[in-house]
Amino acid sequence: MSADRALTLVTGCFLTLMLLYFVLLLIQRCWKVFPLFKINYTIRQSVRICLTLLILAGYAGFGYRYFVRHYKRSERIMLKAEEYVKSKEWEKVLTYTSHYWRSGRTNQLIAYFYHLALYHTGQLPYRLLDFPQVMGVKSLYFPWNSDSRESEYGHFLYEELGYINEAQRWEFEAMVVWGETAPHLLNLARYNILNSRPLVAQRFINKLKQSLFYRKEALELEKRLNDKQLPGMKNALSKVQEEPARFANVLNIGPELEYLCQQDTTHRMAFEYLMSQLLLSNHIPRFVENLQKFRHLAPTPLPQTYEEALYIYKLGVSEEEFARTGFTVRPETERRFKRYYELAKNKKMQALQAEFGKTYWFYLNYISPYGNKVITR
Amino acid sequence: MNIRHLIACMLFFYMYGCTSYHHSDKRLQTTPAIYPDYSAVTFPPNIAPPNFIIREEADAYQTEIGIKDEPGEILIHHTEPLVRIPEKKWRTLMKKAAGKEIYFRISLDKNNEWTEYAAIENKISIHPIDPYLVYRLLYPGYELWNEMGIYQRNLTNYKQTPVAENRDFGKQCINCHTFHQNSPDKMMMHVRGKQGGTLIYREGQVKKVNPNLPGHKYGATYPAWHPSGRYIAFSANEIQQFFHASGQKPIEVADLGADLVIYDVEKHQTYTDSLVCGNQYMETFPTWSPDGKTLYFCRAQGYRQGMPLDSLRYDLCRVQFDAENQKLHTLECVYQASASGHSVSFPRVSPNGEWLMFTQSDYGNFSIWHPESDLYLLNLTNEKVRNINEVNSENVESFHTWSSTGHWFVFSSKRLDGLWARPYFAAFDPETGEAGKPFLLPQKDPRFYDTFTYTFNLPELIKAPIKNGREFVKTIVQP
Repeated sequence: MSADRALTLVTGCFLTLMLLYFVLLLIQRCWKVFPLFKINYTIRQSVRICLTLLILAGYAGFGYRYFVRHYKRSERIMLKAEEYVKSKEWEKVLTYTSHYWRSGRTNQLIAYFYHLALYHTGQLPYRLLDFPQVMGVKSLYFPWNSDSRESEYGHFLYEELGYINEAQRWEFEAMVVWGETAPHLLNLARYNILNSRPLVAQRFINKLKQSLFYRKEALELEKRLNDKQLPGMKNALSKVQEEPARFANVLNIGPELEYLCQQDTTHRMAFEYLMSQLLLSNHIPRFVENLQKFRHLAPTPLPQTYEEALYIYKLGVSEEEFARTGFTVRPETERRFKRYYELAKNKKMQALQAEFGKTYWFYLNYISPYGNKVITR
Repeated sequence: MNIRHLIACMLFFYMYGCTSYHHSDKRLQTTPAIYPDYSAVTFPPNIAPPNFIIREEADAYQTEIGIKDEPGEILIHHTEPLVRIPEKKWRTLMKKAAGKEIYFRISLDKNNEWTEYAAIENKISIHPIDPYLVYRLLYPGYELWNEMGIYQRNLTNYKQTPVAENRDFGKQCINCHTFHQNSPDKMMMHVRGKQGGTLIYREGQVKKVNPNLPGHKYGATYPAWHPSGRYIAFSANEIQQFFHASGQKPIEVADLGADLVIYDVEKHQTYTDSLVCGNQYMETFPTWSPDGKTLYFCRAQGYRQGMPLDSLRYDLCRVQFDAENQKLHTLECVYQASASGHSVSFPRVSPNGEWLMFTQSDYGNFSIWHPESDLYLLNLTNEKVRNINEVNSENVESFHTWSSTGHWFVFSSKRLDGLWARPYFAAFDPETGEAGKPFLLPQKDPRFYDTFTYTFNLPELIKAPIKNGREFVKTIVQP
């Protein structure tokens, strides 16, 4: 049973009781008018009060039990996480999504929100493997599957990345499926302002101006119609001239992240997502190649996960080739790998998981949905 | 004073207020800005009143409408800048005004001073337009769809009625409504989905058929009725959407393969010819000449893996059709748009067979997503091509169809905002090939387009209303 439905029943019962109460109140008022109601009490007042209290206690008890049994906490977490993603309260998003992951469950939407929050709190490269990434790259984004349910969520990531054409596409698809709700219209108005399409934005604003609760926001947006920018939002590709035309890869975000990094060499979010995407998809040589290319965006010292992947790369190439990358692997990391290898060789899985469950080595060997081999192509 | 007197007094003041003419204190030489732009356009005599908004600030507004050099026949007063022309009075005026010019004389009251602007003048053609417009309404979206439908609008008033709405058949996609010579007596449409198929209405019956060529890779897509009503030429396309990473063009819709086939609606047989079928070229958007002897279409080099989509350019070609033997022969290129870096789509031959209108864009064939796309006219007598500047705008002009007489055509334009296509009508002189300034489909509330978020897809003019919408729906859902 969905959270909404569970709540509907509880609140529905409450409202029914309220209604009954008002009916009784009305009858009480008509007591003297209609002789039909002139029935003598046969029960004492104290007993009547006790009976009423008993019924109320019964209702409360039943309501509580019913609510606890039927209410889906996971759904509440998702709703709350979405609410905080919308309000960009990333610490709260982390709290809710971590709570979900910690319970041992996996959910693409939760993972998607979790990574957004990790990035915004500056922890993506450090805590990427805190939870088992059984979904691989799908925990980072929604590949376009023409799925109406998913269409509601894709725009969050693209908006944060400043990839406005894709954000607009996802949001428009969501509006087509879920209707012209104010949040969709607001986002579409914003994206079209950022994309220098004020006349299109104006249409969405016109609709919002007719609403009761969003009129003010619509008027604010209308003032900025020709600004081409909005506070807290960016269009990372606003200066790009498409020649020849470039089309988005809607199934794999990797090329898009690389493109964003190339177009905006200061785009840290695109960089961190690109690194995460390449790591989670076992593409270690491409990870190293891009780490080299966008070195200026990488944190120093390198996050442990990056270094673990670098070490795997190092093991697969000659010393000269590795030296050409310009990266070094700390002796501490090499020592840890030896320990990891020892445990893995002796099949001490419990110890391995306890000690190295959050390492890239463990992900690559035991969790990655793309197998335990490095993908080189 | 009793209530009857009071009502009588109120009525008197109301009537007086409605009809009294305000003489101007000042006259301007400029015309006022109005929206939609109904100035210097040519209207058909049977069009619904073109209501509009005066885009000038004032305390009160007065609009006088009449025939040029004659006293005004309609007087409208309002405190709002909306001009809603009374339908009956408009119709009376139109009866007298056919072949003449009419004016909208607008005066504004600012601080108790009336200013009269120069009159806005429009022509009224002697040729009525086909009274119904059929279009599909849907969101101008990407891949997903929800509610959509095919509707018909009575152009002589504002009444829109649904022909088929997909909410009645599981929200499947309905598209490509096409008529035989602007008549609802022979028409077809496609349905895509679990109950999909091609619906053909002829001889009073709707039938769901499968016009796909057996063994052919692609399904029948864009149709064109042969003038005899016996055949429908289809292009069979493999269509895919691509999404621009940046810039203001959101989508590119491209063919990855396309051929032409001909469907015999009597024998329910489909055939093709190697002239218009094969991997070397992609052929699409067929259309017949009025004598049924020539099939025009657009043709580009066949798509190969890795080919840039903006290198796909379509030329205008034609092939001869021998209806007796059902044979295609003698193919030739009529207009090689690709040679000048352009691409042709939606060719349509005028009813008199002398003109061919098409859309030209920089590349591809789905011109509705190309802001640079414009309408062009090919003179079939001397084969000269010209941009129909008089109807084009800075934004998209794309799909178009002729009226049954050839004195009018309707086309989709995104000139209002760049995203939503709206139907515009233009007068056409079949003798000279000149078009009048186009006008937007009038609406009862002139603010209609400000908040209407559906796009008008495939506007087609027809001579009479479609009366069998329910039969279409029944045929779709029947097992």
